[in-house]
Amino acid sequence: MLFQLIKKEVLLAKSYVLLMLAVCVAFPPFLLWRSPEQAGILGFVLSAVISVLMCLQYVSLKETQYPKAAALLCALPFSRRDLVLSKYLFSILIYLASCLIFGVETLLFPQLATVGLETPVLLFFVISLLLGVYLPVQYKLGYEKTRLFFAVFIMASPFIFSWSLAWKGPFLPEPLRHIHPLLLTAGSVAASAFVLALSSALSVRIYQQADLS
Amino acid sequence: MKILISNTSDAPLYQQIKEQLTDAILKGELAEGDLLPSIRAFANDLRVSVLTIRRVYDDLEKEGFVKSQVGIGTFVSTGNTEFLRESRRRLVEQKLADAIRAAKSLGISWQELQDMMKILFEEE
Amino acid sequence: MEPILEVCGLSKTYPGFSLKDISFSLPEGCITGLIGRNGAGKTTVLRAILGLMPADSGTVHFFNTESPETGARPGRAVRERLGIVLDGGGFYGDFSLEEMKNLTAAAYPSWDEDEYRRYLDRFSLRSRQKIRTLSKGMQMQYALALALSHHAEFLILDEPTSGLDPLIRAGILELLKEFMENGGRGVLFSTHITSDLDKIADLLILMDGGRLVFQEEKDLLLDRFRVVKGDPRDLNPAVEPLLGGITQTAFGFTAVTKQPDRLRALLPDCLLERPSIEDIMLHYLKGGK
Repeated sequence: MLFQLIKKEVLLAKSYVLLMLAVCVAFPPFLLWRSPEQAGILGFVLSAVISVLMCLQYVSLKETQYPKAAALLCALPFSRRDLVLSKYLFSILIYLASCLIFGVETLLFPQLATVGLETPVLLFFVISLLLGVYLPVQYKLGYEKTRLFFAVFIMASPFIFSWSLAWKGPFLPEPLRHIHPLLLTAGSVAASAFVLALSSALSVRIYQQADLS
Repeated sequence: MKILISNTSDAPLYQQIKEQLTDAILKGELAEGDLLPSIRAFANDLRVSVLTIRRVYDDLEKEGFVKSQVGIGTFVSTGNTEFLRESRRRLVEQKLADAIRAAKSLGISWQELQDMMKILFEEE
Repeated sequence: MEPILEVCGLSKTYPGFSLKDISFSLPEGCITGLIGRNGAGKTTVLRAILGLMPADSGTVHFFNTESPETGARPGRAVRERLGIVLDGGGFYGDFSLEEMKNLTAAAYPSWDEDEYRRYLDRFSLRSRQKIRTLSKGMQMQYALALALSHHAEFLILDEPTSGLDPLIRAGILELLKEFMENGGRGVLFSTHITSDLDKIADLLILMDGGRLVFQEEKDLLLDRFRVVKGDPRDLNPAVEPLLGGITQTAFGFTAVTKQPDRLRALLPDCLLERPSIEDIMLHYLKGGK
């Protein structure tokens, strides 16, 4: 049942998902040409974050376009919990796909392989935080209002990235560097799981009370 | 069997249907053991509510004209019809007696009364 | 007769509109028409019954199962036994018929693919077509195919016949009749096309301004009222209190009455005819007596 719901999200954003996967494929080699020393890390982080957020946005846009469809699904024997969880799982799926694409690309372009295994795990934590905030807010306020809030974030992102580019220091903040990498990875996975669980529980709670008329 | 529903009659639908069914049974158009249409099919054909047909069937069953068997349907059961025909006959006799009494009080002759009845009978 | 749906004291307040204390009970084996003008609250009632919005108070009780709590939504086991058609379909227009069907079918353990194929053939619908390219009539036929392919026991349809041509409407009514041929089933549908109800409804519920005006057997209702036609010169203070919804032309008046016997005594020449549901609905909504 959950599988069909995730498939529904993919179908809703079908053209967009394909576009974003193309971006994931094309972006790192493009960066390699423009700024080879940053290409690996930047190519991965940017393409993964953008594709997850854009695909999720597009699915939400489509849901807003067909508001009665969500009402129908709730009237059918689908549980509202599954309807919410499918959004989370869909986003995770897109993230995994972009990881996979980047992984294949590092095999094709060895210059890209400057990214360690801990990066996707840490980035997953960042994405979990983003989703963890975005989805409950959207379930509470609706797509339009959330998009406004989100647009501010998108506009700020070039500044954040140019700042992060300027920053020549190590990738990890100081206190974290002394922790064993394995422990750090495990901790990050656990933290991501915790954030997603908390956020999805909150979204489900909000959606259970939602007025779909 | 024919059942006609009048749109101008004052009689309620339920009564119109019940009377016509009773008549069909008394006249023998519907024989012992005949299966009546299902409630839904009958209602659809007559364009009336299933609740109306159900009420007709329930009443006919109470009066002993039909028997319903769960899962099979409703059957004509003539066990009672002899008695019913007899009582209807008695009703006719009673009304005739009334008519004769009224005729006598007005001095209408037997011949006149017979003619009157003949005309009325043929008109119906 | 077992009730298939019992609604008790359903209330919901919105800014500018509210449902006020809606209660009714539908026996199995009946087609019930929910009628009323636009904005009377028909759709809101159906949505409240389906649990699409939390009600302020009241209970909705399907299939004589255990009594639900106040404001509780029908559980999954109950929803599996319902067939649902929302106003306007409620589909993702970008999906093909096949894609939307796969999604719907996943919700029902009792999904019957052969049955679904038969409906598609019957309506000449093509699986690969996109839903938004369907005409309004085809979209409704598709919605019914989806609602009828899992052996539902109770259908809830919001305006299934509005905006459709007479031929398609007749086909849909035929489909509902077929559905009702099996025992233990029921249909509740909202409409403002009362001629459809003249043809197939057993029970009627009239709503106005968020309230329930009446729930009644169609035939009893039609038996109680008569349409009166007569000479306008006969309209006098003795007669008028017996009439409702009077319309008058130079040639005569038409009205509805609940007391045909008294009226006939007063106006021996008037015509009395069996009303249609529309006559009765107009009588109530125009505030007749």
